[in-house]
Amino acid sequence: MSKVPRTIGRPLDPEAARARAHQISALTDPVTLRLLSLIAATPESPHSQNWLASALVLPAATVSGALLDLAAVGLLASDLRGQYQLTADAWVCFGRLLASPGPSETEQKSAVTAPTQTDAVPGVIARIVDDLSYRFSSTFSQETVARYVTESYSLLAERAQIVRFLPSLTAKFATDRLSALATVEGLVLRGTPEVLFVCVQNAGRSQMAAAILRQLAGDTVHVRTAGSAPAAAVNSIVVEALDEIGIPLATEFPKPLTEEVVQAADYVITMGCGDACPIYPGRRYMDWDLEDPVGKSLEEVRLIRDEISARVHALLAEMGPGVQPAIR
Amino acid sequence: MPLDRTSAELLARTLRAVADPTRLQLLSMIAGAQSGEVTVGDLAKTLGMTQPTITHHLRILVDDGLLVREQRGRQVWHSIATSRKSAILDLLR
Repeated sequence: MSKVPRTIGRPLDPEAARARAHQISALTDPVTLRLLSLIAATPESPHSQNWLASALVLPAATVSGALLDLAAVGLLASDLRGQYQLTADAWVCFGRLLASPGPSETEQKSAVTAPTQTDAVPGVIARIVDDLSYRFSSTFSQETVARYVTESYSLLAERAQIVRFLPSLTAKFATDRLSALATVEGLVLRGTPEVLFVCVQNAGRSQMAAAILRQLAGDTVHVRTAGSAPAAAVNSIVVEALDEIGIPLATEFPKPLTEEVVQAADYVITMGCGDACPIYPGRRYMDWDLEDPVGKSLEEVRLIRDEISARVHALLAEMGPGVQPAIR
Repeated sequence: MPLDRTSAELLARTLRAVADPTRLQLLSMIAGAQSGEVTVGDLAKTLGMTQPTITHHLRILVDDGLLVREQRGRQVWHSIATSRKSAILDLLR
């Protein structure tokens, strides 16, 4: 017997193997496979149930069942208009399989080089690295996050046939991989949920809610804010109303609502801008019906502030001490 | 180009062979092997399963052409079929 230990690969973790087997099982039906392949190959088409049914010459009921199966295993996600796109998982694991075998060399080449043509690529990556470094700051160094994001980006860029969703797919995929890595390495990541408050201007309601939650929860919750049409600066009466109850509104400035910021969140709380906020599966969405402090007197803003404070307390109670972020 | 009916049926058959947690674990161990090939005994020991069980799973993968089987002396070695390597690595990502 040889003394040299034979090195074999580390087996996939049983949980991950079960999940992946489950995903693959959804694709063992040729109809489901053709459906996913068609969606992958026609990124610019409207992937509604009806369009897909007529393109594949299949009954609408068959298509609708297959769409639900694929969404249930996380291979498809639908947007607000009920149109479907592949998830990051679907691109990375199945993207190359779904393309018709033996594409001509030119086709293959253009698929690989198309995304890297855009000059915006490094900027987008840097942006995602920043976002995720913040999110994983208690767990990973920025170098680790940067490596995962860059690698996720190239995995997706080689497979996905569209450039449009590449940044958000990259952010999602890198987030999942980093979370999985943290779990495997037993690092404490869960228990630090990410809460996003969104209002129209990101100058009043969302800023108040964020400041109050930060004050209450400290490091146990990551809080972020955004606005669907951000104002130039935070409303000064809001700063005053918060100061009265001893809550600082540090160096906050209104920020636009981006897909990345929503994807990074476990809890998304909208305040009068529900339609502008993209919906992703796995996040907890809440809509708080609150008056806009714009143009209101200090007395009126105090009432809004107190109502926000009550709702933030309730939110914190709901999240509970052993709360798990819903990032998967 | 999207898959046509025939290639979808072929691919579905391959995916049926792979849609099993144990077979995915076997593929991950073989794909990660330093020399590219692994004995049944090593796989059985690592997963804590009997050799007949492992052999059964391996046969399904060999039958679909995902794995290549080679007998040398008393040992049977398995490696990933070169043409299927990138597809298998993707499925394990």
